[in-house]
Amino acid sequence: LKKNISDANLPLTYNQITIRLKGGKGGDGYLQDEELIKRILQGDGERYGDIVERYQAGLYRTAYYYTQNIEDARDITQEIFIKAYNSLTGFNQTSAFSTWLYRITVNHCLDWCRKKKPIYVETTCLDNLRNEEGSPEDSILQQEIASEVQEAVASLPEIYSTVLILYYFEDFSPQQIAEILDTPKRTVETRLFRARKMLRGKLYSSSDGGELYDLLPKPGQLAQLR
Amino acid sequence: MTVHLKNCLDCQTAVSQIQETAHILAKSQITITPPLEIKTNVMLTIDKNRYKENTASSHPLTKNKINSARPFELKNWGFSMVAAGILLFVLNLTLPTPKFESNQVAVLNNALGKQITLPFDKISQVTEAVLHKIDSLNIILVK
Repeated sequence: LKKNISDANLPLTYNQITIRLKGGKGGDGYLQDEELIKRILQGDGERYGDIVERYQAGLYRTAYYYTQNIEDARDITQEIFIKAYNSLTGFNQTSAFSTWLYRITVNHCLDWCRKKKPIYVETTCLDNLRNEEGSPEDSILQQEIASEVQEAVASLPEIYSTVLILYYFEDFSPQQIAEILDTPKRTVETRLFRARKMLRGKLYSSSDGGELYDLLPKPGQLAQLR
Repeated sequence: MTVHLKNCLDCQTAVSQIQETAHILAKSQITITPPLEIKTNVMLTIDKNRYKENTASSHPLTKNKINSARPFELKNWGFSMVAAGILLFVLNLTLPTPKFESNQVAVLNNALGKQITLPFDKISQVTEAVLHKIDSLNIILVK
């Protein structure tokens, strides 16, 4: 299913970009994460700017999914980068740098969520959604759906919202999520299954007359939105 | 499982519902541009010389060397402890004679006491001689 989605001419996500860049070894001035980290640890602190550029979109987006507002997402992203820089010696290269960085990100976001609940939901900051085709009406509808879905995801218990964010929004594989969360892959898969089920319950809670019920496309209607 | 899915309507519905939810989730992925200030603020906040100052201790390769030096240090400590143990053992050694009479023990104690005080006498003599030499050197230097 995920493969079909990624093949549907959608904009590239961070992971896809990284994979493509990594695939093209020897690109102009492109250095692998590990090489960049090595240089930073050797005293070339300016190189950290490359790391920030490379990961800021993904981290900012992830932070946004947790905070639901751009100001907090920006602050959190900055804090994460600073935290990661100050503890770079703790990156022991047994896993990918992205895994290590996202582990810090998820923990930081969860800490934030425990300390501070989101005050309001910001939707106007979204540049666009994944489907760039279709009429303006479709686009507005999609934005509304996305907003509702994000709210529903954010309202799930954190163990479930985290796996959904990392799997669907950040395109990590269950194996990568298992490494980020330091849990078995099987647990991640189980959580994904339960999370989808819980989310479906929230989105289509027709019994309580939830507004999402009317807003979300019914099975089979989704294709018309594409 | 595929065969079961073909025949079971409930499972077919469950799978399609999950697929729809997954579709909705995938379609809900947002693209937001991070503000430029993130990089600027981060680069202004971090101490770029943090790893320059202490490259030797922070670099993973040198870190390995430090780690490998640690067992050696511990080994030295171990040797010192063993040596101290042996010394204590030797000091507490008694003569192989199985039985002592009380006066024999007293004689032994006296002998041991003398053996211990003798080195102290020698040490004080040597110290005095050294101090005398230092004094004489000081006098020469003052002159």
